Amino acid sequence: MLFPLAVLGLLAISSGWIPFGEFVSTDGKVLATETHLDFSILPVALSLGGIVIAFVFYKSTTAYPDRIANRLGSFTHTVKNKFYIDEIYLFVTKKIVFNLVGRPAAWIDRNIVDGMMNTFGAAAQVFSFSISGIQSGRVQNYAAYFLTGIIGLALLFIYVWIH
Amino acid sequence: MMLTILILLPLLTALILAMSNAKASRTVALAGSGIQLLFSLLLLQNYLTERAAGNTALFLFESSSAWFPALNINFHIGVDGISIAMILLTASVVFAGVLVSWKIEKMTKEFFLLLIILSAGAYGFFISLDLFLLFFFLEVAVIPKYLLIGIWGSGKKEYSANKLALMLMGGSALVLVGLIGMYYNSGNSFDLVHLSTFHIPFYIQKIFFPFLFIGFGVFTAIFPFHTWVPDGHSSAPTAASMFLAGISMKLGGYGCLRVATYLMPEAAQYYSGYIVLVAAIAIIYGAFATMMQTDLKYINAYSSVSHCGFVLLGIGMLTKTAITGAVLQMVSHGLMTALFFAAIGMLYERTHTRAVKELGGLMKMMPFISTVFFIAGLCSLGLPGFSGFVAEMTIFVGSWQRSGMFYHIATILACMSIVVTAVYILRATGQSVMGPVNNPKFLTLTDAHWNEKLAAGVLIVGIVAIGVMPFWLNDLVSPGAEAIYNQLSRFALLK
Amino acid sequence: MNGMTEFFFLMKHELSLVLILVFLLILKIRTKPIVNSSLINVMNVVFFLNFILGWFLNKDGSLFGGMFLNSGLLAFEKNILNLGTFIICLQASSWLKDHKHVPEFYMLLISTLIGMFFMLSSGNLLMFYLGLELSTIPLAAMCNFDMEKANSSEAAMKMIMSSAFSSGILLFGISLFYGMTGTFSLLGSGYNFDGSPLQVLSFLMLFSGFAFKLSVVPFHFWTADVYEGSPVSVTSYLSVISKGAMVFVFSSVMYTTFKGIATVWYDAMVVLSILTMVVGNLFALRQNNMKRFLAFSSIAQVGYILIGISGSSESGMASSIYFILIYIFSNLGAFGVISLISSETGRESIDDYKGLYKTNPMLGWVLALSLFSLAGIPPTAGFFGKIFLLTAGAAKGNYLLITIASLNMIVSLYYYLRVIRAVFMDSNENAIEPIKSQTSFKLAIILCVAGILVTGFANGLYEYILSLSHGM
Repeated sequence: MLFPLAVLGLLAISSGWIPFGEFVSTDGKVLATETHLDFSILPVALSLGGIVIAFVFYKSTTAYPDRIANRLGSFTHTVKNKFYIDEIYLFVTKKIVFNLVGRPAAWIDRNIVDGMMNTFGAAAQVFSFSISGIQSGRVQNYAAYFLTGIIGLALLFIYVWIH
Repeated sequence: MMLTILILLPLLTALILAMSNAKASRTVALAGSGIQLLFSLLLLQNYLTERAAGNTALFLFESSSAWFPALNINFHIGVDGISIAMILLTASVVFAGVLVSWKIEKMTKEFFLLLIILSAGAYGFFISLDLFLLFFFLEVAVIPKYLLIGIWGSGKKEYSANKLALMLMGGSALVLVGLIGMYYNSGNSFDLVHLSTFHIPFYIQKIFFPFLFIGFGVFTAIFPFHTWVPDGHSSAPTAASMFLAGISMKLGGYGCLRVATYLMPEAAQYYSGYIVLVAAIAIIYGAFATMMQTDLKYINAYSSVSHCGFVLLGIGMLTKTAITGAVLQMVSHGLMTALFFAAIGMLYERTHTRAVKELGGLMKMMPFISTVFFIAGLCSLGLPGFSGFVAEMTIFVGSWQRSGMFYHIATILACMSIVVTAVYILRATGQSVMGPVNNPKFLTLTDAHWNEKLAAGVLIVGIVAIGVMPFWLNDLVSPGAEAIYNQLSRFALLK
Repeated sequence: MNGMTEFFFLMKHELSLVLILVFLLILKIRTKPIVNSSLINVMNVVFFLNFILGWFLNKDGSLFGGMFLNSGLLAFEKNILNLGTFIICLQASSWLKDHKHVPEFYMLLISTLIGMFFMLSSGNLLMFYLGLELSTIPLAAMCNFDMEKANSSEAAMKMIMSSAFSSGILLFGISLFYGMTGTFSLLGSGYNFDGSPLQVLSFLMLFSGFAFKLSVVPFHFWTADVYEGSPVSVTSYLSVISKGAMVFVFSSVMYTTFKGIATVWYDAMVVLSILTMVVGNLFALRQNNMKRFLAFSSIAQVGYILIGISGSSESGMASSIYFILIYIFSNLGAFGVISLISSETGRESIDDYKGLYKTNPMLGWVLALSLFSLAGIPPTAGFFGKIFLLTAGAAKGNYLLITIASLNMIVSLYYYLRVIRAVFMDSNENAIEPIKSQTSFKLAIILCVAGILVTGFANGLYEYILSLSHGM
């Protein structure tokens, strides 16, 4: 385990010095950026500080780390549970996205949109059923409808749709 | 001459099929669709040589013979890049479909006969340059789909077949009204080329464009007329699902492009906001609805609604890149969803279940099918290297080129749907193919046979070719897309 | 002598039918009993010859002072009706061979056909009325030809009573027409119609006489009961020939005589066609008896024909004639299958047809093809017929009407698919057993299927009809 890590560490330090911008570019020109060294002071200081603290905490054999952990109490607890990020993710996806967005979307599709189409079909059936009584089988009714039709059309044409 | 052979070949195959017996029918169908695939490649070759020789006419291999001169209906056919791409797609999917259905026992002859007739309808649709002829081929496909789902399907097949047939007929009815409207307002002509040069008055365009776009849109699962897709695709037999999702939905997209947008560009621009809205809803809503599905075929069917929303988004944005992207998405999605349905069909044939919860650990017993399944899934979520990425990327870039807050927001929302796609794809494929074996009875299952391997191979070759070398398809398709875009700038002002 | 030869050529169709009628009467007088099957075969050949003869030596002209007309268009229409009658006779063979009154059937059939030809050729309202009555009354008698069934007698009675009622109103209309114009002639385009109430009333009453035979809603109520009760061959005759003849007369009268009040009858046609399509489709959804089902479906088809006629005159005429020809093939294909099954097994409900494809695949395909043609699905000819009708009808710019018609095509597809579903997809324990059919039936079916598949692509046919309709 040590050897691979050592190799990786060496490469991490050295490969930053290779001028990739001269070899890889989208338009043939050299991709050059500026380096602001004073920007790097804070990150490097923080990283070195972290290495030092880690060395002090974990290399030493005293109970010093445990005392610090107990002092900080709930903060240690939060860090131990990785800032509860996993729980937040699971909550957002399972409870919010799946339940409040996905499930209603599927429900709307099955019931409302599909239901609209099925309603058109059902409406045709219902309407067809409701007027089926007109075909009664009695010739006298047929003659009555015949006459009503003519009179109705005549009234429409003479009084309503005047040309 | 070449194009007439394109339609005559499947008809000849159908004729021979009608006269052969059940055992021989599948060989005949395979031979017929195989020859058709080779012929399509030959057509592509000829087309590319013609273009390389400097022929810049809009449509190549044109031929026109009078059919009903009194109504100005001619048998006018011709191809451009977009048509050739769709023809290649059709040939591949039909060939793969015939292979996958090798083991059909019930009424084998009729099955292949209907499948070949379907393909003849699709070929005819893509090469027609006369609107009546186009509508003729569009309608030819309705009844074979109904019979294929109703007789060989599974689940609630009669209900799904009915819903599919009636809703598609509804789309055709709207298209018919639009076509008749254009006929009377353009000097009594059904000819596509003539109509593209004739300037139909804007107020007429405003009336008939919705008819045509919504009519063709029903075929492409425009929201809210998309409900025939989940039930129809899921109840259909495998080859029919492949054809329905892979090709039939593209009939609508092609119609929207070639007929609605190309012939009525001003109205297209006027309504583009609505089209983008509806497409965006389809993409996002389709993706979320897919997340909740537990049946593999329903997952794929709903995801088809979402992916075809991309096609409509590309068409609605009306920039050159977006239109090219829409065509690329049509081809890519066709291949991908056919592959997905083929894989699901192979799985179902062996395990007799499509519920994701009941499947698991299939990679152990069926490595080939599982890999195919995974490839289809990864292409669906847009992994680079496969065609899905190329198409979606082009659409996004093209959509962003359209300026306006509304269009930008729609593009952003559509991009976000990729995440949702990844969720349901990875869940479906991961749970069914990896992990522990749920059902001990699955341990004795066999891997793919030769026909299934060949079918998957054909489709994967297409997907990878487009994914790794997209330029050949792009160069094929973009002149046609450019022609459509030029219509917009000729008659309309587009920023 | 010139007048006599002119007489023979102008009335060629009618005279050949009268000759056949006389031949049958002489046969009836003989004392030897007639063998049914040989008579049927002879009559099939005779009808075929009659159909062929109709194509030659046709002349244009008029007789009896303009009461009887003939022209290329009318000759073509009569030929179509002859073809339809020939196919019906072929299909009726299996039912007739066990019937007791075969010569009477043929005599009545020919009488109605003569009546229809006179109606078609009429140039005068009196001649028209003569033809109308001559075509209706024997037809009512034919409805009764299933002598053992009470249904049949009921159908005949309803037919006679309804026709009598409609004839009464028609005569009233004719008398008002005479009052308006002072003449019975249908040819006058010099009538100055200005839409006054008397003209509207006269027109509507005449129109209702046409609408009765055409089964336009709300004059259609007799259709379902009569179609259901009559024997299948008579039903097919009613639905195809009677309706077809009426469409021909109706369109020519509308375009020539009533050209002056075109705006009035255009509105009437729009309203009635919408009503007819919608009501026909809604009622067809509920039917279980195949004959009743086809009755309502044919009512819905009439709605489409009205749309076609309502458009401009030339293409409206051509498209409606073209549609009638295709409608003959499609309807007779469906009725042929039904008549064979009905005469062999007596079963007529859609539930009985379940699983038909497994036992009788050929019959299943023919029925499916005919229903697809009725629904307007390519590549059958019905697609072309419907599209041409709608295109002709849209000439006046009424796209609302076209939209309603297209949406109705969805509803009609649904009920046709119900039958397809029963035939192809449902299974049945006591499905109809395999039926062997005679050559005459096979010939009829081949004619119908050929007509359905070929007529759409035979572009020359539509051009020919259009050329005949010039000058309308």
